[in-house]
Amino acid sequence: METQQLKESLRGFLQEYIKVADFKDDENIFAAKYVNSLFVMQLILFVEKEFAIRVETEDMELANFCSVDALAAFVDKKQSEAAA
Amino acid sequence: MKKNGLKTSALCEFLQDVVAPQADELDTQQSIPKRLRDQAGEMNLWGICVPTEYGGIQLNAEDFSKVCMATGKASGSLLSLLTIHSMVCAAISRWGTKQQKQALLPELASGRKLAAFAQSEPQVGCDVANLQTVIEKSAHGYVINGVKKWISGAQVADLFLVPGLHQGKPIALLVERATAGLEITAINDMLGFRAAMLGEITLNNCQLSHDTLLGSEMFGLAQLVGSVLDVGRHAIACGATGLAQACLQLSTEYASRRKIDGKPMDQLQLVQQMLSDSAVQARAAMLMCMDAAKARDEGQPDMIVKSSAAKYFASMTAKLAADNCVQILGAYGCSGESAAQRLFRDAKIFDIIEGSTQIQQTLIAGEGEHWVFN
Repeated sequence: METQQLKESLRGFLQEYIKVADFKDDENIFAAKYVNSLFVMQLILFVEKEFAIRVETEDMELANFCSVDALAAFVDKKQSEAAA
Repeated sequence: MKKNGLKTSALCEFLQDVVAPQADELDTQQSIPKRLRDQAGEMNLWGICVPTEYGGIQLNAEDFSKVCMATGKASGSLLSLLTIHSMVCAAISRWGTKQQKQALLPELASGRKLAAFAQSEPQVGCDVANLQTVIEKSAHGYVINGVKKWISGAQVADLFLVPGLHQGKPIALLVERATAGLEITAINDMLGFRAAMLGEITLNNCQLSHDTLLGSEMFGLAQLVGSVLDVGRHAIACGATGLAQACLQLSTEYASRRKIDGKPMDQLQLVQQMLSDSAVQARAAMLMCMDAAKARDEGQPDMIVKSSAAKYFASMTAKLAADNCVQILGAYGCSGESAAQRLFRDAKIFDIIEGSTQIQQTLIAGEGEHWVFN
């Protein structure tokens, strides 16, 4: 999946929970308090199902989930690892 | 995960034929004896959340739900043990390291070890972010201090998953019963789930190695709530539905043979109202549980709120069905000669454990409406 498509898909999911319409792709959604850390589990379920990846404990870093950009990079990395 | 219909059916038969007839006696004795726990192990009950590669029979959510319903129908106390054990098994299966899985899951799957989830404290229930148990780093791993209370299965569990605050954030450690500094005091005479063998656990400077951490330090709370409490909520939702089914069965059977003015009670419209309320709500609760199970099998993000909604509805249904059951059975239902009084007491517990009804309402309201129409 192209990065732009990936980001649109992520934004589509996040938008169901984040009531702010114009949050930026590089904006930290936890620091901005758009979502709380409990939301991470729903986010994990979404990326696992949508992008056919498996999130492991070692992936549980804020840097992987904190923004649309971070999520897109994380999914891309996991998909590349799986394809290798 | 695939369906495992044969093993599910065998387990449900075991629960109905072997466990249910003993449920009142277990309640009176306030324990589930090792003999019965071992029998359950032989039937693979303790391995329903453990992958087959580690000796379990990992059921998909649909079959897991059926087994939990059958367990709740047979004995609320056994359901309580199954719930906490399954929560820990699911958490290790999902977030454990390879070493943790290899060391613990085969033991847990067979029932040679039973697990419990030790979250509640004298002053804290569901509020994981404000636990008073403190976990600090040490040269060899972690030191944990605190008191856990109302822990189901504590009297017999071999392994505890213990959440506490580490640098202000919740994390969870796997603590063996034999750990130095860990003490357990039995809690008896509870209102319901009297055979669930509750206990209070004191953790006094318990030294634990690095590899007892389950999940991450960063997102421990999300991992706990998402994969441990969530499994517990779903199991309890199904169990409450099972209890409602047991109440309905008992009510219907009694109302069909008890006569008033020469007519069976079930011909009276006011009795029919109670029977129909119990029947319709039990059916609706079952469908909500299976809807949540479908979301779980598909890995849908809304599975969490769906299980929460099922728990909310099913626990209210259990109370209604138990209330109606005692009402229909009258004095007989209030006595030790009938299971109705046990079901009535157990029904109230469903309202409280694994997140009270009010906690579920908060969670459901916070989710908005999007899951309702999916």
